[in-house]
Amino acid sequence: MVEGAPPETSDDELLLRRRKRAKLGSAIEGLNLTAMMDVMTILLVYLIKQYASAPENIQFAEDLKPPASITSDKLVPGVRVLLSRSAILVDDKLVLSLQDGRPPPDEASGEVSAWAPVGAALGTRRETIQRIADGGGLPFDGSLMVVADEDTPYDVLYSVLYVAGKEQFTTFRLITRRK
Amino acid sequence: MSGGGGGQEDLNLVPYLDIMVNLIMFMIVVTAYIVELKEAPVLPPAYGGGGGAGDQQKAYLTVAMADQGYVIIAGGAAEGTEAPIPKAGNEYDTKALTIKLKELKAALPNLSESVVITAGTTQNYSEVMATMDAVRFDGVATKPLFTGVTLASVVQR
Repeated sequence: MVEGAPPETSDDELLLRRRKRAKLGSAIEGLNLTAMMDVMTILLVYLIKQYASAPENIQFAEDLKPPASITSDKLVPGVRVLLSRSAILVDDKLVLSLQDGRPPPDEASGEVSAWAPVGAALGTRRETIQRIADGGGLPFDGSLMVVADEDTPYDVLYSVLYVAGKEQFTTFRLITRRK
Repeated sequence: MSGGGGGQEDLNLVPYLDIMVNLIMFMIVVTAYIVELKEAPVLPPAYGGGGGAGDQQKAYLTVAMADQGYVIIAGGAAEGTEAPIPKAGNEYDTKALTIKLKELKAALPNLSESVVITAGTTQNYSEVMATMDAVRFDGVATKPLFTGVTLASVVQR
């Protein structure tokens, strides 16, 4: 053994090396955030998708506030008619403008012609669904979601249901707010 | 000196994660504040002629919403008109209507489970919906009274 040179091995040195090796092996070098990002992204996409496709995702305005009810039936998606105090929309497309919840005076004079655009729009929607069903889609079940303002006169509501019935819509579901 | 731009460093994901967490919290809170909507089914009116012998043995109720209050009209096997239920102040007395309908349901064994509601041009949708609730439920949604409601044509005066 050369003088001054460190000893080749000693018990203390071996212990130190072991400790160092053990420390390096179990060290947490940093939190892996990639997996957490994946989880967060999936969660966000799921929430956005659920929010966007929910049938209750209806844009309310001052002139479109459904009445309150104690009914507890859950919403089922379907063809949607919106009856506000200013307009009637079929699946978010304007089909008839209203004045204070009623058709304009010149249109109201002829009852059949006043509601004809609503009937035509519902008929077109029904034909579209039937064409999709012919191509393998879901069949037309004749259900209609009616989202109407709480101040809508009964005769206006009934007229819309009447023209919908003529267009082969047989199940009417009135949308309400939970009381 | 480390200095270089050539070193390949990991992308700092912490700010992205912060954004994600905030977005998710926002979505959850917004969803909680969305107006909870439910639906009330309405049966379509029956078109065509009268029913068979079985239908004639059944009793049918019609609730007419007049300006003064409710008028209950019985048809079929139990023809007649009940005493009107006047308005309570400016509003329809829905509680009295439910009580009267419960009495009729107990008294008429062949009573149909479907009730027809009709109104005029002066009644609005919220009043009709309150009447529908009074017909369909005995105070709460867990106590059904009549299962079906049909909206009939407008009462002409």
